[in-house]
Amino acid sequence: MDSSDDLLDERKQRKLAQMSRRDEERKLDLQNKQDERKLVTATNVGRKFFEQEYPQMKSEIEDLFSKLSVGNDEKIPEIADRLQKMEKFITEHVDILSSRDVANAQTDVIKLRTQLNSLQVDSLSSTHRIDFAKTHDEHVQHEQLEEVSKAVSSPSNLIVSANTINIANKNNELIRLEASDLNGKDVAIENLKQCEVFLKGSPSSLQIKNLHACILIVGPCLRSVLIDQCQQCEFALACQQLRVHTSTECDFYVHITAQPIIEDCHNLRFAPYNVEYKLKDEQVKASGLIWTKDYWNDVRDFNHMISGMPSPNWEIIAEEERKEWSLD
Amino acid sequence: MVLLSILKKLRRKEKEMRLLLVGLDNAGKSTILSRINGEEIDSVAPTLGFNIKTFNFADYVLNVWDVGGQKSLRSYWRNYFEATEAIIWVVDSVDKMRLGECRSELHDLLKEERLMGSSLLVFANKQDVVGACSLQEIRTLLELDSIHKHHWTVMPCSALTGQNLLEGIDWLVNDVAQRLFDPD
Repeated sequence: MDSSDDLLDERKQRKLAQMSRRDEERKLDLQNKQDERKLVTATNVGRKFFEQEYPQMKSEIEDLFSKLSVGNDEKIPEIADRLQKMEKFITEHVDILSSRDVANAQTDVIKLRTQLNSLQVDSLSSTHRIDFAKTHDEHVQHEQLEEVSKAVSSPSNLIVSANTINIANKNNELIRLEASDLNGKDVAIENLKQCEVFLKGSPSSLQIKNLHACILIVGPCLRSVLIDQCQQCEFALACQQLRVHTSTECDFYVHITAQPIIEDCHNLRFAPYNVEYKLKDEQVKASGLIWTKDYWNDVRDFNHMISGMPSPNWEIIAEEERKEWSLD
Repeated sequence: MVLLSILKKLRRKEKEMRLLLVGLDNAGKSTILSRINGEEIDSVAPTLGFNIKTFNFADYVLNVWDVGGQKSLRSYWRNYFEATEAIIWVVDSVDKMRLGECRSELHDLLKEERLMGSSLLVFANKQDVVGACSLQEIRTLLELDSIHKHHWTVMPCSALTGQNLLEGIDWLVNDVAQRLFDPD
């Protein structure tokens, strides 16, 4: 009797376990299906957004093209800018689009880009010069900006092309540029001695070479900054990446969203970006630079890659020694 | 010949390719790789050693080795030459000051015996910056037309906008595939 009871009990237990297992499986399955549905809806929202925005972006660019007439090339930079934004928008949505949509969008981009390129060539061959003179303070010498309309190459492989600002070979000068001169431009600074350079705007890229005893203060720059062969200089920069090569005795006041790196450098010092000016908040916002993340004191030295041991080539500027800068 | 056909068969089965992503520092190599891989690009930091990413492209598995471009790292590039099918050379089209250095590093790299026969894609990056060197300027200044021992092409691109990145990889993969996997 007992043994059959046991058997029954065991069977019952087994059956119960089986049922609860099935129930678990059912629940899991349901959950999976729900998750899937959520994902599909999320993707649909993304796709809907793309389907709404994309045709508008495209038609706006086409509209700008149609408004262009001979000799009226003012809108070209705007078209270039919008086309870039459109391309970026496509890239950001690639993973939720069908391959046909992606292919169509790419065809659109190629078509518009070809159209733009042919226009840019046209406008370069006509006289295309930017007048800097009107925006400068009196004590700035206008000649110091070398703006060349068409690309030329010199034996030393140094090119100055349209839309590049090149500040070079100056001694003991004060150079000040406003946002209207700088924004979106590529800035190269070379061979300066005892100069003070204030760039109140967001250049799209910044390269610095061979400065001696100079001060360089710049507004937020979304991309990377490259510094080479500088001595006894002070820099204030806000950027995504910073690389410093072959420089000595320089002070850096930086806001930076990735670890700065130094190579073949000695006696560098770092402190947080401390430039104040009226339009700062506005420019930071417009630049797109992340302001909540800052690696100013996490410097990587390529000549000293030993973890746990601080590099002898850089140090933090003591708080009482830090200077304050202004771009106003 | 038998051995060669066995090798080819082995490769065909796996359809793997090894791509070496090199160039001077600040060219945008890691940013390109992150962009292709669909990752965020605004927190890309200078590469201290190297990054490896594996992803599928068409029918192939691509292993991309992204090696830092700092001067002190360039001597380590040679460690990655073995079994490399293709080279992606990334140029910062805005950095006119170092195009000479970029040219000599590229031509030095191409002399390397272990890279003989590998396909070369030159990416003229940062084309979204107004004032970047044009494709023709890059081609001339890097003396690309003097390269005869490698299949090569040069493409303007932008890691920021994604312009031409996939087109470039597509060219490279097809070029390598024709050499390695196609029945002769």
